[in-house]
Amino acid sequence: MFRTGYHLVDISPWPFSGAMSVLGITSSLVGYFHRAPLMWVYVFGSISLFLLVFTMVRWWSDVVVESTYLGCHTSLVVRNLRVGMVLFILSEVFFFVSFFWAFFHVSIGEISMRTIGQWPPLGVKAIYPWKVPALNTAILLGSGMSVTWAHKAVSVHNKCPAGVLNPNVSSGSISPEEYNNLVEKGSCYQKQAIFSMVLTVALGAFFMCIQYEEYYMASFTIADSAFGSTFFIMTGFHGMHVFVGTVFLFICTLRLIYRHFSFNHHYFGLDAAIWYWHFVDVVWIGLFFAVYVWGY
Amino acid sequence: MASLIRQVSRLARQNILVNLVGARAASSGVPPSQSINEKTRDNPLTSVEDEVRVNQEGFFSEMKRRSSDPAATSTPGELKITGASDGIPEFGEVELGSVAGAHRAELLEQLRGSEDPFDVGLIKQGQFGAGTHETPIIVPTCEGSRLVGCVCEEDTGEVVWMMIHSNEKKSCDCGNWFQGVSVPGARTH
Repeated sequence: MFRTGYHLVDISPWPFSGAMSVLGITSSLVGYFHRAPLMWVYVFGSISLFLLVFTMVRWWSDVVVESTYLGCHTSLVVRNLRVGMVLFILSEVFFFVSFFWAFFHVSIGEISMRTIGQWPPLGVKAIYPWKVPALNTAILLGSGMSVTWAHKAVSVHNKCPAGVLNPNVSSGSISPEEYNNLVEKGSCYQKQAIFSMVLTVALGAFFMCIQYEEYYMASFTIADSAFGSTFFIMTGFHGMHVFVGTVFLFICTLRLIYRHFSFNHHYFGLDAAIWYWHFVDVVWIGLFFAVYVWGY
Repeated sequence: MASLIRQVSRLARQNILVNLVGARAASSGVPPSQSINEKTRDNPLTSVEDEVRVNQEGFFSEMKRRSSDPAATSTPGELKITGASDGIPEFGEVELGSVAGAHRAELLEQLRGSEDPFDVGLIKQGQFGAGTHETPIIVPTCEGSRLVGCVCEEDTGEVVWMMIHSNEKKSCDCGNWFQGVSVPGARTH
């Protein structure tokens, strides 16, 4: 038994099945574009989609098992996971940078100034930003605050059994009476963490409901000039990221209830979900001021 | 297999086999024999003053032991892991929860006061007062030689690479001294 601090993973079918599922999805999509028989497209596409969801569920639950139940995630592994999550979020940032670039190119680029002439283009009725989109901004900012509350509650609870600070054996900083006092008062952090995580998930779901309503009630479509294209691509991809972030936070809420994040178990999953949620929030702020406010 | 058997005479000449027996004694806390150092003791530049003890915490503890910092050499108090039925530890106990595997091993080593549970061995310049000619940074080797990279200052863009052999004391151009030491039972260069 060699004592390396790194995690050498066991053999697993999920990378292969994930690759095959994505191959199936793209193949059925290409077949749909090229007028393949619809029955084949639907059957093959839905099987591949199901396989993709199945792979994601099983792979990430394997990660949860390896971290919480097998103890493979030492501090060296967690440090590497942090770097990995930062790089992933950075790649998503650049994904959105490309759409913002396209938006500014069509709205104030030289050719657009000559052909379209004004923004929003003539005939397109843009959404008034200081009603519903401002509400969405408030929702996401509020969910950012509640998720920070959850993080603080979890990290206090993480350092304290039953929410109480465990004094260092050799330091002797507090007396036994103070310690027992803290034991009695300290168990509220788990409840606070669960409440704030549920609040965050609820706010995220509320955001998606409002966006769906906005999409339904909008007077323009994705086909309505460059305005519609850029608007729906940007808000659509942002909505997909909100969905992924909400699901991630929901899973973290379940893990919190199962006490995966309790004493000495500050696993990185919650940190990753919160970073992703803050990234989603920041992208919405950019969207709000660039597309809604400035574009009105 | 045959090549391993052929190595026995070479190892016997280098008194490694004696040290293998000594290594077992070392892990139980008894200092091993010093026969490996006899041929290098006369050379002041490359001698190892005393055999380096390799205990479970690796070379960090050895660096602490050699340093003159009194706080570094103090041992922590006895570690009492709670057996409380409700999971809430008593005053003075430590609770680990249901941590398992390598994570548990790391937590236990840290609670025992080890700073480097996995022997990463990243020793900063000036940590434990090491890096001088008198107290060099100890570089453990299993093969008889090891590649060492010196980051001379904290924000330096380049790493100075050098090969250090066992029982050899070498310095980087910035003045950082390294000492190669064989782990008991390993080959010398």
